[in-house]
Amino acid sequence: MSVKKKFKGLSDKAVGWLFIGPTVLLLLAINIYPLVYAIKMSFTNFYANKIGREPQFVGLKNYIKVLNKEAIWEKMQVTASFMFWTLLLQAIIGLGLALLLNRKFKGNELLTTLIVLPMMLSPAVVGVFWTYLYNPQVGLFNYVVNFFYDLGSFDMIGSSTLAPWAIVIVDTWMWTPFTMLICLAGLRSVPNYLYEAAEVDRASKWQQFIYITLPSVLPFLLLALLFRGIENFKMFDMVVELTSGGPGSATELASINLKREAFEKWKTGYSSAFAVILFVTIFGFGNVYVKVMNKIKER
Amino acid sequence: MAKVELKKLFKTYNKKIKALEDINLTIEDGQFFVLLGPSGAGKTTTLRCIAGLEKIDSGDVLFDDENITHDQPASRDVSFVFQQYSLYPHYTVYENLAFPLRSPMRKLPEEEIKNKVEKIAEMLKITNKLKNKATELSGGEMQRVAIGRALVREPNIYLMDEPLSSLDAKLRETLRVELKNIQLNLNATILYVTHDQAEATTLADKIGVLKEGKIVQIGTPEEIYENPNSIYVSQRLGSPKINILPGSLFKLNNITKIGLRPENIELGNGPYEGKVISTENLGSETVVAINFQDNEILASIQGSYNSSINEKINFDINTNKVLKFDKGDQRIYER
Repeated sequence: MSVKKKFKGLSDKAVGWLFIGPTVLLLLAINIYPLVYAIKMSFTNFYANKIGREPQFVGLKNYIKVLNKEAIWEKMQVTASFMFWTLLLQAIIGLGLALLLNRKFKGNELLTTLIVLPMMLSPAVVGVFWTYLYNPQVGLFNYVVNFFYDLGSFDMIGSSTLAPWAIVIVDTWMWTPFTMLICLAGLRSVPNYLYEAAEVDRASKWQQFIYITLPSVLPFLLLALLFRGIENFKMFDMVVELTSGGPGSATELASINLKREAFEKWKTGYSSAFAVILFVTIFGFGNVYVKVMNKIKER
Repeated sequence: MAKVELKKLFKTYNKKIKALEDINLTIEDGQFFVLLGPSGAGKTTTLRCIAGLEKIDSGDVLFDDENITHDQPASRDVSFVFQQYSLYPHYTVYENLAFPLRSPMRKLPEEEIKNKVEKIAEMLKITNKLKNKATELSGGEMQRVAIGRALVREPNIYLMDEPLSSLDAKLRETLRVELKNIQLNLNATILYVTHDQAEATTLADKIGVLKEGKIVQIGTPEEIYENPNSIYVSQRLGSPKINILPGSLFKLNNITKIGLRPENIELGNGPYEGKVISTENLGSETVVAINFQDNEILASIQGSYNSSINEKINFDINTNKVLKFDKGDQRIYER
């Protein structure tokens, strides 16, 4: 007995903690602590550039200020419309491409790799090189559009009506491959015998799509859109490089406005409150969405 | 329903693996035709070629003397029960059964679809499951739905690929009886694939025995059982299985091998003496394994039979029923 006790090593639980410990510490340091700190700051009138001034507790004042500000709702509207169009286009084009790539043809693998490439690039890089593509004088985008339909000289980034579409196009170009890949995984999971059964049952191609393909791929597509939705709600780098929120505030997404309030106007307490509101919004929407998605999956 | 003919059908997979070689068979209108053979014999491939799910290399498929070799599956109008249930997983039993009726090639009014689905559901005793989703069913129920989906319309031919193989013994028996009744009621043409001999003998009007992609014998269940043309065919039917023994054992010196069904051996007295290896009481019959000059012989006796292991036993054989085979395992017919 005593010998056994002496050589007793680490328990399974201890080994477990040893493995996840470093990760937990890291997460606490760079995710949880800043979050808690931001929540704390959101109840104060802290200005990060005013050194030596002790921040004072102001209660819900920052939150009331954010929610009563007309401009914030404009930014939210810009964000919402950006999300709506990017998600819609990425769902339709992504599913379409997945359906095409799911067929067997020569060069299928190579084409898939090429289509996926934009996703691998850094958003900032994408932003920079699309500013060149959108250049009204020498840009390739304008050239191609004019080749098919003569619009003369137009400035995608400079015009306040076109700029919101400019960022939608770039985001769609970059992230459609993501929805496509996930849809493709869904399509590959559909057993072939279902199509054979439908074929023998004399179903049309359209019926096969509605009865077999769509219900099988829908949970996958919804998951892809959840990821894209969360990402695009926080969209920052690509748009900043492309338009910096301009012209005027035509493409000023909530996240860009937040960065301006925090690091140009240095209203740290106020922008912390704004950040918390954004966080709660996306968290709430995300949860509702997941619930709906699970309902659809169970169907 | 239609008469279905296959003429000189050849099929290879990937231009290498021979699946079917020179298949010739005729399934008459209203006939229950069973294809029998071990796995890999080409049973499923034959069905898929008739359905049009596989392209054939050469040969013809005829429905009522009309050549449909190059037609698409949809225009052939056949129904297929797959070995895996292959129900549409996102839909209810009702929708699954109605699916073939909703084909644009039919355009039935909703009322008629409802009547047909309810009728077939009643026949297969799944009426109380119509509102359930396909994935909520047990294996037996799923297979009933799959069979129902095939029976809900009147195609040229019903193709069934081991539809009962994944069910438990009891359910298999019930469904087997139901299937035969349904076939008789509808006067349906059915091509049925199985490797289960009980299914073959109870269901079939005619049996085709397949071996490595070739049809080796076609006949009624009685013909296949009583009059097989080779050892291979003789082993397809019969339980306990046929005894294949050297001819010299029974002083048939010019004959290489003989086939002897277990029920054609009489125990008790006779010119041959062996030792009991084991007895197996199956209720209505008893299977006795006998060691006779170092060969194991199975004999089946009506009712129960009492004997102990290693006991000496005398037996006789019914010489009229002995099947004689040559060196190539082919049947030698008496002149």
